[in-house]
Amino acid sequence: MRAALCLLLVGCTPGVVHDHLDVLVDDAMLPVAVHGNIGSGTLVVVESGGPSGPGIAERAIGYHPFQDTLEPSVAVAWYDRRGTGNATGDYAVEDQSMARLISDLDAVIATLETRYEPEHVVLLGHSFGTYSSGLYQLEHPGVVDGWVVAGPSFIEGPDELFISYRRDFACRVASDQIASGASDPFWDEIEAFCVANPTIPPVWDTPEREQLWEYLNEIEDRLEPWPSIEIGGVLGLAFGSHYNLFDTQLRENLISPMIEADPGREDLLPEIGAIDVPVAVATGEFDGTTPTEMGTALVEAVGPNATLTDFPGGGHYMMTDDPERFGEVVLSLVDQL
Amino acid sequence: MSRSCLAAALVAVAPPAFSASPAAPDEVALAYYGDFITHPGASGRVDWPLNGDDPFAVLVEVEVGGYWHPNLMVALFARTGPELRWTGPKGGLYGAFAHVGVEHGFWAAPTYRVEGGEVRTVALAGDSWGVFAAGLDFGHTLPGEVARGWFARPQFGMRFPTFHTVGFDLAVEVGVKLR
Repeated sequence: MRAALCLLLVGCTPGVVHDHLDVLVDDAMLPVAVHGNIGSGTLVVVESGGPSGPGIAERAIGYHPFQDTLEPSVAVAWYDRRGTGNATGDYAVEDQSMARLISDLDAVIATLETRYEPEHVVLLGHSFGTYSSGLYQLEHPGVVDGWVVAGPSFIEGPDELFISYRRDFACRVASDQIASGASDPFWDEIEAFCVANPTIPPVWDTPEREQLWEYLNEIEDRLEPWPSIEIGGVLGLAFGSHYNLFDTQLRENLISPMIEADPGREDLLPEIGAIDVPVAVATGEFDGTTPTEMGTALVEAVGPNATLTDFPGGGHYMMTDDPERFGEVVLSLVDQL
Repeated sequence: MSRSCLAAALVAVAPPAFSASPAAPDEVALAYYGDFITHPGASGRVDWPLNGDDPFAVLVEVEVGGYWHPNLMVALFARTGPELRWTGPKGGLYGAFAHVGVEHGFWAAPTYRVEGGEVRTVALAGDSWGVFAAGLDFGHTLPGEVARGWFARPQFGMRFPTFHTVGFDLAVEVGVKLR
């Protein structure tokens, strides 16, 4: 009866929610937004990038365009980490830590499980959120049923740990460009650099390192797509939603400098094989921040439970480059649960 | 600064309006208070003149109000501070004001507390802040018996402390001054 009335009056879909709730944990208030088909029994919890990522706002500004791809089939939850978005509370900058961040994620998942009692919980990490969602599963095994890794970053630490992947990324892109007929000497220059530097020493301030970063920046400028913010979404957030976007965007980012990996856990790759759930890794062909090479390493570390989908022409926000394909990646994983 | 210190600070600031000027308020105003224009609320204000020299006037204002920011919070505030106002020869009113005060927001979405692994619902949870608001005052006198004038007051506000040190708000009030 309620469902029929819902359809008749407002054209909504039974089982689809557009909910907001607040989670109080350790003197912090973390706002949570849930959109989509909770009646499906599957809840996808988003761990944003950053760690100062836009959280809840990512849906409205168009960075997570799941309205037509995921939400009709599953429910998707976003939350604002303490120190970001509309999160508030009586706590200090010094209270921030990786352990606190993982504890907050656990509180959010526990609350969502209490409220909705989903059959399956899937973590969808993006960029830094892939590190935190991986760490969460290592410290809380058995809570999550599936893991989507978008822009794999199993490293939270200095550039030294990323550099070999980024070198291989630059070399692969140059090689592919030359193979596809590009005649720009820029690609030849990179290829020559790669031959001369089969490895890059993990030392800062070397000429090779600086040269590589010049190449990476140039590749980003030339090839990597970047999502544009939807103006309608921004206006809707500011004037027609629960969100105080102005408040969020004008405040200083005080969280990123405080979040550091525990010593010895800057690189989770050696531990990642302990994650025993289906894993779907998504990478963008031209994403030099978390390149396909990192996705390949992650899939090898996880084993047969993991699949890699590379988005041709995609960047760090591959979910905006090809929303339909990204939706298929997530729903294929959900089908395995 | 603790919440109780903020409340004490407001109490310390507000009384001049009452103690220094025992006369009846010069104006009483009622308004629609729109946080971000579209988050609806209401406010009431009384103004005491500190000098009576037209066309320029210095007033002390005391204002209370509240607004509903859907799914975020129901906020109640009390503020006080001075306004400088100029009344034009044709009845136009132009002013600027600055207020300090306190605000309490009750979270408007279902709220859960997680403690020791237990999840439970919480009623009337919220947070308190000190507030500062500054804005402009535009309006005109009216010839009616009841309404003395209308006004529109766009304003910029800050809440403090938040984790980020300061939170920002925009608002506009549109209302009438009563005799």
